[in-house]
Amino acid sequence: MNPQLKKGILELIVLESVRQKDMYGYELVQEVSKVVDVNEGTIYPLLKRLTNEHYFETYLRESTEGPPRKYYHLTAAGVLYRDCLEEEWNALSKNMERFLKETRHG
Amino acid sequence: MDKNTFLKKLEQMLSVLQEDELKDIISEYEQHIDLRVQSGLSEAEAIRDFGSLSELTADILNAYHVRADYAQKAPAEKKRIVGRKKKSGKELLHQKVRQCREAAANAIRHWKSMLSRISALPGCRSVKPSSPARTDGAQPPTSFPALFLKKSCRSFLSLLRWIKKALLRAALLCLRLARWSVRFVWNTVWTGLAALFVCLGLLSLFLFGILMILTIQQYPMNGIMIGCLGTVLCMFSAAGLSVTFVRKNRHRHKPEQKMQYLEIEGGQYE
Repeated sequence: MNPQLKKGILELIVLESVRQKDMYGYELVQEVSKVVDVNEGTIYPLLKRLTNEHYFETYLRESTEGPPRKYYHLTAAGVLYRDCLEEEWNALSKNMERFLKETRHG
Repeated sequence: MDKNTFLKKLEQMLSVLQEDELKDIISEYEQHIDLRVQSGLSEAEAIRDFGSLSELTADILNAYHVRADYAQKAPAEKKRIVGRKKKSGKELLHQKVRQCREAAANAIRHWKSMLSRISALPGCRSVKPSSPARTDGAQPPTSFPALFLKKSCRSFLSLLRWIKKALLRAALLCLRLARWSVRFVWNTVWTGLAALFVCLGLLSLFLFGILMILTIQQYPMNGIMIGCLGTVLCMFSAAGLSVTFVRKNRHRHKPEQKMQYLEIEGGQYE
């Protein structure tokens, strides 16, 4: 998949995943790679950036094995941002679909 | 690459970040690798999935709004800064001397080239055809008229230079003298005025004393006395004002000193 294209939708996937359930980093990476084939290393910087921009809150929770895990939780600002992205995505995909259909028939 | 070397390399490349942030992100990756290993992959495979290290660090730094190429540039820059700091005092003097010497050498070269151009003028060159006829095989010596012209030119130019320098120095001296004399007159006037005001102030103080005694002795001197008090205050404040107009040597030289200092600083960074 085109990396530029991926970059844009990665944010939306991550935000949506965390909205459904608080997750820790590795879990999120697994979740994202279900949807798109992604370089696993790039998710962490993205999480960091979204946290720095206050779309995520983090907290530590003990796990049954290994060290405590850092969980990500979507903030109110994050919800707003997610909705915004979703709208943009919907508009874009609709337009794209129409455009491709038109060119195919025309 | 195994986990420890990977993490060490990552830490090295992200050394621009604050320590707690660095620890945070490193632990994130460490955990990821651990979990991958638990799910059955080897460390090397898990690390290979991250792709190129430089791209990864660029991504991470980008998330912090740090320029990704800073980490590579940082060591070189640090070295340069250290080198700059060490240069002081003696070295600075040496540098200045070297600069002066270079400038002098350049000037000499310039004059030489000018002289050679002058000696290559048509008038000088007309002598040249005779020289090959006179000497065969041996190097053609510089003809006498050209040599003479060269020498005279040089002496003339040096004289010109000397005159220019002398004129410049005289002009500077005149300027300084004029400045000094103006300042002297200015200062004298204001000091004299201040002294005058102080004298008047003292006089009116004396008068005020006399008038007060007279007033106490029931003479009708109230109005004049109050006027006298006003005069005293007036005179002293006028004296204070004129003292502030006196220009001191110190204040004049300060900006120049600062400029010199700045020049030195500038030289340091060249």
